[in-house]
Amino acid sequence: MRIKVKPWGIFQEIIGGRELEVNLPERAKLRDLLDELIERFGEKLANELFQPGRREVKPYIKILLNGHGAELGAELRDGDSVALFPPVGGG
Amino acid sequence: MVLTEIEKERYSRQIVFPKIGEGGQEKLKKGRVAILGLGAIGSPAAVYLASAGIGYIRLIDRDYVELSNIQRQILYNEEDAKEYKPKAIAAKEKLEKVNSDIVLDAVFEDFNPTTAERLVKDVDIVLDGTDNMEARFLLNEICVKNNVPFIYGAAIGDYGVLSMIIPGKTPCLKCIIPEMPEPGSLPTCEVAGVLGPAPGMVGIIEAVEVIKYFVGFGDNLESKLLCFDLSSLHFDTVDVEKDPNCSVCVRKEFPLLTQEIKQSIISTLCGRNAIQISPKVDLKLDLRELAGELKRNPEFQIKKLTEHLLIVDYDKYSIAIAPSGRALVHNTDSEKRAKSILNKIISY
Repeated sequence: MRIKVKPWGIFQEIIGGRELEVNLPERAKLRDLLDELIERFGEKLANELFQPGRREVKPYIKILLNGHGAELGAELRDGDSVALFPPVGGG
Repeated sequence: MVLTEIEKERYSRQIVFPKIGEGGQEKLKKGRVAILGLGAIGSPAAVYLASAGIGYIRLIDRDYVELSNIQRQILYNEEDAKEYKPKAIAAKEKLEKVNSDIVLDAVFEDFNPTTAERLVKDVDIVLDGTDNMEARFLLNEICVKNNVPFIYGAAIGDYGVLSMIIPGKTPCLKCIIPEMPEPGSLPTCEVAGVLGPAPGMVGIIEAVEVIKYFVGFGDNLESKLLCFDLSSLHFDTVDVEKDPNCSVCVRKEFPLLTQEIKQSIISTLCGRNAIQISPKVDLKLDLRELAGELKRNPEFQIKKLTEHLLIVDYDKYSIAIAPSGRALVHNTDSEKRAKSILNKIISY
């Protein structure tokens, strides 16, 4: 199935575009999508996304599945859209 | 609040705009706004709101103008930087020339748990023009506690985000960003860089939201997060939801606001290699007298003395002191070092 990924801010820089399509096996979960992204984009993405030394998303990063907050265990469906938002503190 | 003939002439172009009209202009005249932070976001917001005839604008900033600000902080010029002019004062001077009919209240103070409530609770809405998450999370607590709406806006690089927070109605900032990022963990404009128009755009959208909020037209950013990227010119809005267990807006816990303050508040200015020390009480210093005393010690060089600030060089450090006793120690990120330097100048 195809999942659309929409990265923002630093994630856009790492992923290199504002939208990316990822093919995943049926019944894949949000966690599997993140694993796949880290497989492709390496430590740089893992460092931004996960807490140091753990595979847990930093508490201030927002991941939306079809516009709503979702747990990493949420099951994905074909055509789902996942947005990654880093917090922005500058000004 | 009836408009004078001169006001009808001054605001004629927005009165003729059907969504505002004379009734809308009267609402703007009654409006009371605080702009917290007068940097790259606050500058254009302040210009548009003063120009549009918001009746009362509180201009809050703790900092003074530096040359590196002028690339994006459009209220200021080289003269302000040479004069080490506090941004709140410089902003008021510029905006008075734009609109002398409105009340402009310049506040050259730090926004911290001892000052926050006084600076925010008596306005209709607050614009976030800050440059760090600690100030925003404190603003969130104070606004939720006092039921004051605010617009969260932030930018870095070419990227900006905004959301409108109405206590009791929309998610609060803590619902949107569940944990305050540790100070120093997020990139700052000083380190990651910033394209001037990105925070400028945030400020302009914040100003539009304030005008729409007072007049009551259009859609707004309630329960929405607007993100934009100026490199790709991509704008997107996503819905944000209230956290049913939010510690701030549901459980009404205000840890930043209620933290115990001893004699001073020390904060690291991330990415600026500077430490700010704010005494809990106003020390009411006579800067001229202090400068006179320091002159007797050859270790200190007086760089500038104005009614608002005394700038002193000591060793490799530059120290800016306000009459309240609040001081910025540049060229160190060590709180201990900053404190010991400052103790040579004033005792807390």
